[in-house]
Amino acid sequence: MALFRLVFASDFHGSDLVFRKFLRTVELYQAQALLIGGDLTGKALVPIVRRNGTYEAELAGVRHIARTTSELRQLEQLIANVGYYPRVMDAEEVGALAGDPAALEALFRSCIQSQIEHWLELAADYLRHRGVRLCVIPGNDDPPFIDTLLRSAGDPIVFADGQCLPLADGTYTVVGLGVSNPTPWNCPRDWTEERIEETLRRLLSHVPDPHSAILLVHVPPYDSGLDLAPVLDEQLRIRYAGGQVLLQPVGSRAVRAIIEQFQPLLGLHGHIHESPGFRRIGQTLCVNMGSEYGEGILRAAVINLEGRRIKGYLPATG
Amino acid sequence: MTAVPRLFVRQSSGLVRTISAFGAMVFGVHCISLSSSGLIPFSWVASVWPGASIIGVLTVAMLLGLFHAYSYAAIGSAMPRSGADYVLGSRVLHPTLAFAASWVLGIFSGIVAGGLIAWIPGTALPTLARTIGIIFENQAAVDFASWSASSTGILVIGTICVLVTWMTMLLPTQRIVRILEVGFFLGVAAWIVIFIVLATAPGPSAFQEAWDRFMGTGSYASRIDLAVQAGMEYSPNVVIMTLAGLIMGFWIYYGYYIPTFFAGEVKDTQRNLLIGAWSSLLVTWAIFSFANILLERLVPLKWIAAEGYLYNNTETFAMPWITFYASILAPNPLVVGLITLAWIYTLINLAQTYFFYTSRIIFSWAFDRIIPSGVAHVHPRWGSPVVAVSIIALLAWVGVIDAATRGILATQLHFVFFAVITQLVPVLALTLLPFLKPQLWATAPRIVRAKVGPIPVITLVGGITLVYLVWMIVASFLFPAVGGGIGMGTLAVFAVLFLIGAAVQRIARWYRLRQEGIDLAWTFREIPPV
Repeated sequence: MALFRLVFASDFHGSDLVFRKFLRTVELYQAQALLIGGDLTGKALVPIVRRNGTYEAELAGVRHIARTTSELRQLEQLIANVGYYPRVMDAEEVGALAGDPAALEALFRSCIQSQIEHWLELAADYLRHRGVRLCVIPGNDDPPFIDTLLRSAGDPIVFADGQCLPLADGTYTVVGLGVSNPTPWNCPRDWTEERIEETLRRLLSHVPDPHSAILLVHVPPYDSGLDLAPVLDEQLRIRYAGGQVLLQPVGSRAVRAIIEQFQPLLGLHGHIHESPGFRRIGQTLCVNMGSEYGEGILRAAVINLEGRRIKGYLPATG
Repeated sequence: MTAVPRLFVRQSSGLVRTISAFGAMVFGVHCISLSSSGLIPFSWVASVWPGASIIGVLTVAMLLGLFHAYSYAAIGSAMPRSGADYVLGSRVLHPTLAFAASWVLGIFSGIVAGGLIAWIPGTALPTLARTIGIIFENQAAVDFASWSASSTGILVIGTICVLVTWMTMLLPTQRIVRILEVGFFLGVAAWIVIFIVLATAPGPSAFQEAWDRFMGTGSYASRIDLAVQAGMEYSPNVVIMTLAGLIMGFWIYYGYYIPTFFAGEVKDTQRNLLIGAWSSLLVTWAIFSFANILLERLVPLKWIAAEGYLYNNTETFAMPWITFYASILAPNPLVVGLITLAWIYTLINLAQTYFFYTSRIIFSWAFDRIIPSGVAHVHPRWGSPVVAVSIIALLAWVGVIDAATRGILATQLHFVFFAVITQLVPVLALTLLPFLKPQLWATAPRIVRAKVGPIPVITLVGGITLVYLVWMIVASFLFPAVGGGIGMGTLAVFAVLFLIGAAVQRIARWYRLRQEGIDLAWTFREIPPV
């Protein structure tokens, strides 16, 4: 029976370095498919202030100064590598932006669009001649407008959100859903548990053999060990007890119920960066590789499939 | 002029890691141990190097510890996950070498946890029971002390303590942390009581009277002569003090850096690992040093050295414990009871920290799939790693048996030697990181990337730490009183453990490749961006 190898990772949050490392896994591990579990977009924008012919920015508390165009490019890359959007502007523009939420939102949109388009182009160039498909779903932190960009990318990039897609000539079916259950941040793709369960149930009803399904769902199953996150108070501050952070499972009960009932081959998840691991729920291997995008570290899972079984798996971090 | 924003953040989710700087400090303090390490400076340091300033030794050891602590904080920051030392060594040097070193450290840490637990019936309980027996004229307590220190006593009480530690480690992490925090405050409270007792004693004559009252008339005045007759050579010497500090650093302060082993659970690693390690070093240094200042107000250093010398080198009945000194000065049940409770409680805490960090080392092996992932199974209801903790409990029990039978491992004494050799691998990896993995170094946190002129700080500090570690290995042979008299048996145990570790890694790689089509070497490979 033929071996099929896929590489899965999630939650790049705008880190250019992590995305480019992820593409490289095709070559390193001879992967036949890449899957991304959402949260592609960055969370913050770093202004590079143009002043008297130099460019200044502060990143993680460190002040950087670029004096030449080449140094400016390096600075932009450094910022992009850790998941922030670099943007050159004057001090006055920075000040104006701080008082204009609409302009700031427009700027974020522009940065996100520019990076996603660049990534899609890079991925298409790199994967097309290697015959490798890239299945991608968004995450709860991704603004809805990126769906259009991902959907229109075309082969070899496949937008899997709300879809059932054949993989390995139909041996497997990727069932994608790029959402999470409600979070304290009211993100664009926070769904109710009922809606998640109803949607997954509907999608799986189209899969002839659910045991061959690969569930590509952003939020991990509830109380799976892949979903431990800090307890927050009403002001979204982390709750401590005796100097220690309190943790609780925050995954989706709907995803757990669906996995317990349908027992798909694989559950591929992201969302909770602090809770990486491989866990079995019945026969289903559930994976959350976590994320260290801020450190420019890729956390991926290499998974070998053979027929209706998982032959082997390995975390790859680098 | 208004400040220009340096960062714009859009609405999105954001969660963080868990263990705080305070949490890291509590783990560090418990692994150093307010109880066992609290006794060593006055009972052991003073007697091994009679004349060496105790505060001098504590300070030299603490200062060297700061370099070592920086190295381990950088290791945890470079690889912020469970078993950071193994992860860094495997990625930078060689996976087999790093795993073998980690294997030895993990297995031996489990056994040492047993050695430390055996210290409860072997030394701590007899000390405390004798104190109660002497002060309250209770023969049953004295008899219990003798039985507790016997092979049978160590085996029975040690086994019970292993079971207690094992059961507490099955509790959810938050409960364990709470238990440790209670121990931290209890231990500090006991030291404050000791401070108050020592500080409020009128002067040397009060101590002399108290000593003679409980240990026999004229006993105090005879101790120095007895020790000198037994061979004690008193030599106040700065070189000796420094030398002692170089060696005793590990003994007294071992444990300040253990949060590096569970760096994956520490938030803002580069800040909290360093703060946790340095603050646990400074807190324990301050406590032990202040206690020494107060003690030397009442008793001359030569007398402290003599009492320790008599205990460690002769059959003379001696009680060189600071807890005993405080108890005879304030012989009331509340003081003695609080000190006894705090000492036993924090000794269990000490074993718990070993169980905790060793379980995280085992986690990292399982995460890399070198050992079956079932070993890292987390109980769905308790949220604790039941299999890993049970394995460590078994290893600890081996340590108790070894201690009870005075076996070949002499785990506590040899731990410096074993731990230091295994630490050469991650520290060497850290030192060479900028040259062997420049890209990894360039994208690492500030504590790893920092430079002094053209030289990376980690290379500089790592180099100093390496020299320190090599000296520790040499010193283990030069000073048998500290190194435990390492013989061929111990070396053979180390070599066999190391080779087993190397074999486990190689066999696991072969097995995964053959059975699963997965090459474990992939997990150690650098992933260059396209």
